[in-house]
Amino acid sequence: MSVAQFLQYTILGLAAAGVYAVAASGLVVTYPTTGIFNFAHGAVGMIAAYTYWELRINHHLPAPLALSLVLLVLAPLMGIVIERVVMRKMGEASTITQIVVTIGLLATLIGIGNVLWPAGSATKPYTLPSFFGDARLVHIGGVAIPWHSLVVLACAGLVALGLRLLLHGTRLGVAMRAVVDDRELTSLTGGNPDTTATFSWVLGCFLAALAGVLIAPIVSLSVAGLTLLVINAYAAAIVGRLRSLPLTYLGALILGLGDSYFSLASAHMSRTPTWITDLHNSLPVILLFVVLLVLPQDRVRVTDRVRARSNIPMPSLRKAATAGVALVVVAWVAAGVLHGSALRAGGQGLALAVVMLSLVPLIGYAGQISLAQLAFAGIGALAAVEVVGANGSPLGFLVAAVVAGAVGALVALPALRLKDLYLALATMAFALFVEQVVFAGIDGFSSDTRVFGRFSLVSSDRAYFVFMAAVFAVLGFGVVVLRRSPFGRRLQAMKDSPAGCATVGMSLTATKLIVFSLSAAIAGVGGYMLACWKGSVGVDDYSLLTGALAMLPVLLLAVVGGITAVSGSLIGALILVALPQVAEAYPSLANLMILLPGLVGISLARNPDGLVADLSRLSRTVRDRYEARQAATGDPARAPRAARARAVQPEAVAFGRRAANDDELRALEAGLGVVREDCGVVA
Amino acid sequence: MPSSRSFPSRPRRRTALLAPCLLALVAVLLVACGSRVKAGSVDEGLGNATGGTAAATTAATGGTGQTSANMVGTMPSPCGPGHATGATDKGVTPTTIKIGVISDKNGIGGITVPTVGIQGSMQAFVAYCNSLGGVRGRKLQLVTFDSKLFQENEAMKQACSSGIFALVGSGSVADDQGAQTMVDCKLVEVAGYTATYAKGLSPRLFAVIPNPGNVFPTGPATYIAKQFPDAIKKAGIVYPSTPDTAKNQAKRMEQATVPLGFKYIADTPTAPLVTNWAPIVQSLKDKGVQYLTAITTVDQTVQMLKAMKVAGFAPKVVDLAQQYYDPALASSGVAEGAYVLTNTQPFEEPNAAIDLYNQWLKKAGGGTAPTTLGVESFSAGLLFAKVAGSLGSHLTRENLITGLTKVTSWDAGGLHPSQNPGQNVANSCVLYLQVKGGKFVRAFPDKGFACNKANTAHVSGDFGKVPVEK
Repeated sequence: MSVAQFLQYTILGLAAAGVYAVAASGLVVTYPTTGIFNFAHGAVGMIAAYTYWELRINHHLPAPLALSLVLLVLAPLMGIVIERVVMRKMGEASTITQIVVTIGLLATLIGIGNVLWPAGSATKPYTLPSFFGDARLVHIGGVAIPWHSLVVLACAGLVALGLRLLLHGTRLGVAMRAVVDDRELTSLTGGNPDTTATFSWVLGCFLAALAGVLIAPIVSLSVAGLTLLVINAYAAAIVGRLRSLPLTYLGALILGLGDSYFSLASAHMSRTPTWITDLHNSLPVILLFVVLLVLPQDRVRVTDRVRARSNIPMPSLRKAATAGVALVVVAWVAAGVLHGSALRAGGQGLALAVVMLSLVPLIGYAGQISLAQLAFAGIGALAAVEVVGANGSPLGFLVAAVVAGAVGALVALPALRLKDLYLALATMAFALFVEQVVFAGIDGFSSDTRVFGRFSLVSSDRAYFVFMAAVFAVLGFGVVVLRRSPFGRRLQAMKDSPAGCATVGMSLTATKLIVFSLSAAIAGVGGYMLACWKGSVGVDDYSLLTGALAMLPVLLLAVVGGITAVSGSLIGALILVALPQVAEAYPSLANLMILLPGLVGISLARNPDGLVADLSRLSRTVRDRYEARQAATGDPARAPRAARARAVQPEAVAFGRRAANDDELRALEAGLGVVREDCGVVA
Repeated sequence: MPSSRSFPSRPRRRTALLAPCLLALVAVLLVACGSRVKAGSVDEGLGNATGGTAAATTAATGGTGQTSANMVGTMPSPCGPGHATGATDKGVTPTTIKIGVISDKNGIGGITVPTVGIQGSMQAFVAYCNSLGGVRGRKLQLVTFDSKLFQENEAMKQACSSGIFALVGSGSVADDQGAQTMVDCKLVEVAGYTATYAKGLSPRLFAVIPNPGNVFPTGPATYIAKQFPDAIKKAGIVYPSTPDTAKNQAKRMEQATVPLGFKYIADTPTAPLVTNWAPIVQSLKDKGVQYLTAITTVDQTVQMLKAMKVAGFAPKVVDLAQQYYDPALASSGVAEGAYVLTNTQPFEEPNAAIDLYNQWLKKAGGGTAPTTLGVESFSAGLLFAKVAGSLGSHLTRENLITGLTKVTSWDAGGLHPSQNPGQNVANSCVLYLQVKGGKFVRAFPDKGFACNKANTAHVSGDFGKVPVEK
């Protein structure tokens, strides 16, 4: 290998780094100015790129006009809409909610992309010409660099300079940073936080659109490809600690050069082994994972956000047991009634419900987050089939749980000190690594032809369906027991105030480790169940973004279904598997079904506890009004007792987010013996 | 469950008085029920179907029917009226036959796949066949399934439980997934094409252009070796590392062509979706590759060719297989001089059979553009109609298999060179096109296809599990 050759690949790597730099810089700008890490950043860029294609290639507009429309009209519009409709309502929501909402936005935008520009329309290929034409080249050090790459690099530089000027040199920039620090204080000093926040999002979307339009001609237009590219650019953004543009550019450099040098190594091998290729492809996620673990995290802010105590229901053991038995009975009936694809979907729903159940103790009780549950599910399934073979055996479930749990612990160990956003990113990196390297490297699994057999006792569809319901019922009961146990209270404490836990000497490390392992173990069981139900599965069934079953919609529906309740996971899973069935039965609704997971994710901005909490709150409100009416019309002796009898649990009345409704207040006052009118309080 | 809408059966005998009424009825039906693309839906295409006489047929369709005595190119059309009786097997009634087609319709996340034209082509075929009276008077009902690149097993399971008689014209990129499932549920498949080793050797399956995995057609490689004897000593092959289909294809190709003098100095697996071709192309250039072939999608290959142009890497030969016979490649501007194989009659040299295909695709294909794999599906439909029609009132799956085994010479009236689907004999015909001036131009042979049974090689290896009939 000569110096000249090394130089050539270095130059190629520098050119490629420009792409990552542009993609990452937008992220690094939106985080400090909006306080929210926009998981959907890449998707915004993807929509912009496709719109540019639509205007330029499909409608033959001249490039400057199309560019202006996309960058100066579409992007700001998207920013305004996102801020107004989604982000403003998030206000004081927890970081987990913010993450889930932006993931919902990501899923929605990907859905919109797939709907508006479906693959396989053979009329016009989705290709964009490079700026200044494909033939314009510059020769540096023996390699040819297209002008377009230089444009990308130049834009990256301009963006860096422009942002530095804006954020530190102008009043607006200072205001943008102030709003993130303390919104209320900013408004008190005369700033308008809403307008400033809107501008921050407009800027973020503009940068995302710029990245999309610059990158698409090089990388080719595809929904998954462009979004994935920006996910890979997260690594660069994390190197920059989500704050520092120069460090981000360093990260981009590492990615670009790494990519190039792998090919340099490959140039000296006549036959590149596939494991090297897999490593090459997953370099960004490996870098992301390593950087997250190694770099110091931001210090915890002294004035932590006031987090509302969310309503975690505590069902009685008897209720849980009854519900479990009822589920098994209903499953037995349903298995007899359903057939064909409805039965298959129902079975998948049950298996998925177990995977979603694994999120309940993790997100619902402990306030952690993980995007790697499907990866654990796949690992569990693989381990089980390796040990017990394709014929299936009850032992397989134990193997799945143990191995997945062990992997979960291994992942949790380095991730212990990570919080919220960084934890989400780390688990996402792990999930992508497993998908791109581990699953892809296993023969049969990578092509979805690995056979999973059910054990003989439950080999028929109906029997296995009921078996899955029983497993869910048992595991769900276990989770309820967990909730009511001292360990459950530790989890709740950890969610409410980690600082407080540390003060009383509770070992957060052990708790986190245990809950991660437990959650991964449950996911592993669910994964093996899914594999045996489907008969043959592969990487497509345990993926993060694309694929028949993807973690993002699973996460969204689990949280929407109700992440604090066991029943929520069942509801979420059934909704998820029902969507394609509805799409098939009513093709006019097919597009809506594609968008639904993302849309419900966004709706979480208004309602962090999900559907189940909504339903239980609704039922409680109805009951209250009924009893209040009873109390008003019935004999006075009963009224206070009726009010006292329904002991208002402190957790049931969320004073932090909103005032308790009037009936609840009256009940409380009645119980305390307070007469409102005496206090002179205006009702 | 796919919904099933069947037209009411029409009376077979009419008097002259009824002809005008039928004309009106048919006109209304033609307007009201166009064939529409719906996943899992039942589709009968444009029906004018009566067991009518030729005069009434032409009158009712107003001249859109066949003008030349119902031929498909050089062969009489296998579709037509008849008096078959009996509900002789699953999916068969006295008046209808339900068939299914599985294909990768839409790809995933923006990846265009070569199978995109299959569903539309089958819809066109069903419309065509029903317009002539169906298969011996039994109308065809088509149920479509989307295998979505990696969910072929799910699609096959759906097909198994949908009550179809047979799979006709199907083709998926990862068709080994559901291969055993198809055999287990005792379906019969007349495939448009097979992609994988396991599927190509499957029992109960007949492909109009057979592709048994343990045999590799060496005609193309023999031609290239003769034209460019030095370039093949510096051969490079580029393919995505997942899914296994591409990797196995690469292995088989190398095994079969090395004895012909090919020396692979660059075996380069890549990511399924490459975002940066520059260093990969640079490494190929550094190794001095003179013969390059790729097994990936058209979009990815166009990006690679673009990067090659930028890097100044111009191998003597760029050799691409049938899936690249796609206008998007020719018009990309960077594929000049590339050799592209086709197994079907080129669209640039249409014969009567290709004209028929194009005509019906436009009429009833749901907006699908003509594709070479779509032509193969149409041929599969014709083969099915021929054998099923010949069985008449004895139409069962097992009889269908016996009948198909006897078809040792099949060219679908000129849609493709003559093949032997009955004995699953590998295709040994070659037609090379070359990209010149943004279009496909014939390169070899001067006329027709060059067929030579000796141009095949046996390959062995662990390329997948062939399904077994229990």
